[in-house]
Amino acid sequence: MISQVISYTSFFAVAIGIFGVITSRNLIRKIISLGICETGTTLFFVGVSAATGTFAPVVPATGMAAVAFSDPVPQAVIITGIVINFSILCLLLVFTIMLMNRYHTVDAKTIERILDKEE
Amino acid sequence: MKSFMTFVLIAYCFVIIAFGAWDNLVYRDDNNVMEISERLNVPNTVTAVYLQSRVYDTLFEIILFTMVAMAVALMLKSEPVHEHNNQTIDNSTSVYGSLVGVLSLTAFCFVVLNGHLSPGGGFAGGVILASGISLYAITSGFSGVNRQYERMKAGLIEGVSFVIIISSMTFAAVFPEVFQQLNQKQSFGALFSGGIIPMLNVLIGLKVYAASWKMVGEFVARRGPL
Repeated sequence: MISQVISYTSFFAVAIGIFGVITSRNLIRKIISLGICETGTTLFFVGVSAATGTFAPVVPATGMAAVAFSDPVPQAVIITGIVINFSILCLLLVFTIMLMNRYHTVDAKTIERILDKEE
Repeated sequence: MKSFMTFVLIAYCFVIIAFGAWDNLVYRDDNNVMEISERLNVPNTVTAVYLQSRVYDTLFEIILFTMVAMAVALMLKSEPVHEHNNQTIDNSTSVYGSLVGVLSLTAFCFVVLNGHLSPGGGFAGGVILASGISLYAITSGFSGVNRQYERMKAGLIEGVSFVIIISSMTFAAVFPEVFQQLNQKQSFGALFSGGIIPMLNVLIGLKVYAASWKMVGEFVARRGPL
């Protein structure tokens, strides 16, 4: 049950993120929306992992009770996803810094207008 | 109006996806935590999966992280550097900042060395250390921390740990049985029961710290009119 709730919340988060990426004009806001979208992806994997149980998959050294552990494989896979999200955000911020130094604005429409004028 | 239309369109797409997935998302009821834990002799199965069973995944992840750190440094090299000599430093805040820095160093050591026994691991440890050092830098001056970074030769440490990580991970990916036998010799739950996992965690933690601090330093040095 909790796993399905988390999964559908993650769909919602991804939808909000895509909406922000498409509609906002500010580049920083676009990057933050992309961050929300990526967090939604991570949340989806957490939801899939919680399908078999909600206990952390760390086996205690002293004896073993019958506990519903969560699935470790999606959690291990999403570590890669988190690092890639971080890398994408860093590179996008670098490009934003370069655009800011060149055009002195972070507004996407204004930058497009300046580029049209240059041509 | 245009944004409203976009909202309706996206909501429609995701409602279709969600209701389509309602019946098709298949959740398994069993998992293989005990099996993984017994085979690799490591309590924390997440660490066991990403450093032994799926080590090739982590290998390319480390390569990607290194490449991004290099790319950020290279692309920002042509941008003008903002001189930040006028940073305001409050003495009491500086004392507390250094205290938090030391605490984060302790947490880094614990999380990294016990990464295979309790929740944690190299990435979490590296991020803990980098955020503690960043807090120290915000409260006590960025130039001093940058000088410390140069004096500790963190760049050299990063490069050496990258080479060791790559070589040992490639070895672990090609000959997985060797390290599994290494794990089986120790008692379950001991510090050295992880075989090469604690060593890899320490190196990954140092590498993540060095790379993320380098990126933060680049961003702070070129923060523009702020």
